[in-house]
Amino acid sequence: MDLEEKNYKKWIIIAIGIVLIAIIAVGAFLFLRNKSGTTEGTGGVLSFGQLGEDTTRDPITGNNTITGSSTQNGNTDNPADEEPMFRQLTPESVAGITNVVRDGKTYVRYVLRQTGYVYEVNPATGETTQLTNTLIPRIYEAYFGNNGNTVILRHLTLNPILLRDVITTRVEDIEEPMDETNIGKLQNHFGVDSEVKIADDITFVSVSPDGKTMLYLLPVPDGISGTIISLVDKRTPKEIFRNSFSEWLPQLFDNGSILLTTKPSANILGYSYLYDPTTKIMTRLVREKNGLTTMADESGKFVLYSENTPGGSSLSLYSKDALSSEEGVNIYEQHIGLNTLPEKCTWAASGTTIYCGAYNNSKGTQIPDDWYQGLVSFNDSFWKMNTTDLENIIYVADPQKEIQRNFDVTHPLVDKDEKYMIFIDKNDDSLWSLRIPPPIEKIEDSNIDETTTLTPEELKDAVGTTAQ
Amino acid sequence: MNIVLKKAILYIGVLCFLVASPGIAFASNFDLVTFSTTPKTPGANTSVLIRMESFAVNLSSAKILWYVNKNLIKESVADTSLKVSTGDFGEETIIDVVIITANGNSYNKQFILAPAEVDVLWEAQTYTPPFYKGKAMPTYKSMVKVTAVPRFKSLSSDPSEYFYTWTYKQTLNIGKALGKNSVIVPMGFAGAPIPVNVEVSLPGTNWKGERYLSIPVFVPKLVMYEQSSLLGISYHHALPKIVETNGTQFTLHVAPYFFSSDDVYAGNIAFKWYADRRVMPSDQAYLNATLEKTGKETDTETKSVTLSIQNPNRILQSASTQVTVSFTPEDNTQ
Repeated sequence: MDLEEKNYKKWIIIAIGIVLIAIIAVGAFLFLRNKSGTTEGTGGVLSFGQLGEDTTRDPITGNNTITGSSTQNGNTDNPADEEPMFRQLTPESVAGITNVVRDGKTYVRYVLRQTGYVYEVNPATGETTQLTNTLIPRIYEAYFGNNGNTVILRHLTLNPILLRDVITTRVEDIEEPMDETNIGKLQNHFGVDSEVKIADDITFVSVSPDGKTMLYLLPVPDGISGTIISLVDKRTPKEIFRNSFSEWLPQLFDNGSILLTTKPSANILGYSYLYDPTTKIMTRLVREKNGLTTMADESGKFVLYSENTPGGSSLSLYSKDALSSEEGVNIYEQHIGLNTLPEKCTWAASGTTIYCGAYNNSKGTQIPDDWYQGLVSFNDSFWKMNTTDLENIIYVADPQKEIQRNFDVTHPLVDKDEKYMIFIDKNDDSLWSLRIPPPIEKIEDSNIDETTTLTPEELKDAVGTTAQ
Repeated sequence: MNIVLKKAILYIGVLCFLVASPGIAFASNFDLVTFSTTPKTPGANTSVLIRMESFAVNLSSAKILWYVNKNLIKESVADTSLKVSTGDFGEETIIDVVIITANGNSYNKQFILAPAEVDVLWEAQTYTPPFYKGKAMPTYKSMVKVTAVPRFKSLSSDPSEYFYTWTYKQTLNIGKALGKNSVIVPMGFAGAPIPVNVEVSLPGTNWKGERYLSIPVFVPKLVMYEQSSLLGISYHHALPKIVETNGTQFTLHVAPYFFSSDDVYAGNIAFKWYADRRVMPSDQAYLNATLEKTGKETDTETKSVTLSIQNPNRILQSASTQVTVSFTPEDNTQ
């Protein structure tokens, strides 16, 4: 009996050992398979996120440094991978942002929607400083000028005479702290006793790229009035144009000229013009595009625009100087193979590089109307392109893969060194930074092992996400 | 001279006049040969089909020579059309036509093709919420302002320099004057587009342009948003059909898209809010309604809210919507 018992125990031990070895082997196999990865080249097949008609918006919990791990892109031995690719700069709702440079470093200033407080955050570290504590609640839009030292806040106020909400616009300077709290306050840009009053119900605001001037549009009985305000001194606002048509979206340039684009609707032809306040002449730029939305570079030389097509919201580039010429006919427009809106894109300081959040949209969606009305949201991946080679679109990041989260990109910015892309996620208005990966080395032919075939998972990565 | 001779001279003179006058008339007024283009107002770098017609000259047996910018392009019998491309804005294309009829008469005609563009922009006087970047759409009996932006000589223009003639619903003249680049027209029923036509000319020149536009008419829509005391109205997050909240109070704000704005702001719109089929009190020009949880904190409570809106001044401007708000205990909310 003892011998049988001993044999029995021996076989039990052997069986347990075999099971343990099997578990270790499977675990090692899965671990090693994930670690091998693929090297992605440039100009890859486009990979898009998907448009959800009823996208769930995940709440943000915990601290403001939710990070992702970079496990699939680039060389994992690169020390830069230690810094997270996506960093949440604040989980709170943000109304507007800008970037400022101080001592060679880039900082991001933002306004909280709930309080109107201004903060500054280092996108590299997430370290945040509160700059003001002047309470102006429920800010809907915020713009910065004057190197981030002047802020334009827009909110709703109940007008007791009209018995409805009106849009109130305030131009405030950020005052240095006067006490030991090291928190400053906001001060009326025109001075405490100034009689300058900015009208209610301004429809749109645009700040020039150099931050020195602001333009606002105000409805008047015969159309629309455009007025400029200097953000670097206290000159009285000055009207610079009037137009009988009032449904404009403006973009102000440093030289005072204005890009005027008609407000868009998916199946309505849109038009875009350049207005010169000195000659009062309107010059036609982009014309007759359904659902037209635009965003020009700082000089106004290039206009990024989207057109609503059966395949989605198609991005293209317009140039005042011809982009190319065919059989003696100048070509001023070039299609870019991305589905997105210009407001999801930003121009880098070079003036030729563009970064975008881009999506796949489903049928039956009216773009941009449904997006503006908040009826749909997008799941964006990040892309980069250059105006000199628009056929070569470079994949930057897919947040779904990196941190298993979807973003609907708005208010994008890129710092001057193109190290960080800053944006607000429209899903919850939280503020994020994307660490832009360094360019991937070009794959040399000699490095390609012709016997290597991509696994189905790797093929799926290369092809990208399909529309659902 | 005797009377008979005078009469003879008179008769011969009249006869000669009657015989010669058509020729003189033709020679002096060569517009008996007319040109038309397709498109009617071609833009820059556009392919254009030019057609020639005449009731006075027999073109069907005439030899016709087409020159473009002094270059002979086509020479044939009875070919009364030509396809050309316009140049860049500001460039003129000069078409010269030589017509040699079967009986040997020769006629020259010049036609100048200059790119022209007439943009017609329209804006509806209907409601959109504050900060909305999209276009306000026309609805039943709403008013729409139509504005023309013409260009003849270059990409740049001052609209006040041009003469405009406006036509509505194809036959109704709604105004013409120098610098009158805008008109206001009423819309009809949803789904029945309204045609508007504008002819533009530059005084002191022969340049003309024309543009036809069909303005679509839509139905209004209601979109619900949450209004919170901390963040205000979340205009960029429309509420889904089912909303969950772990609070004890929830305020709904409705945006009555594309109802006539004058009626919305004047408070002329009739709002009917219902919660679980009972009339709800509403406030602030009827755009808001607040729900409160009445049960225990630990219970889940669901309220179905229905809203119907109608504009009594424009009776076909109406819309309705429904939202279900679920008050959940704090632990249960995702």
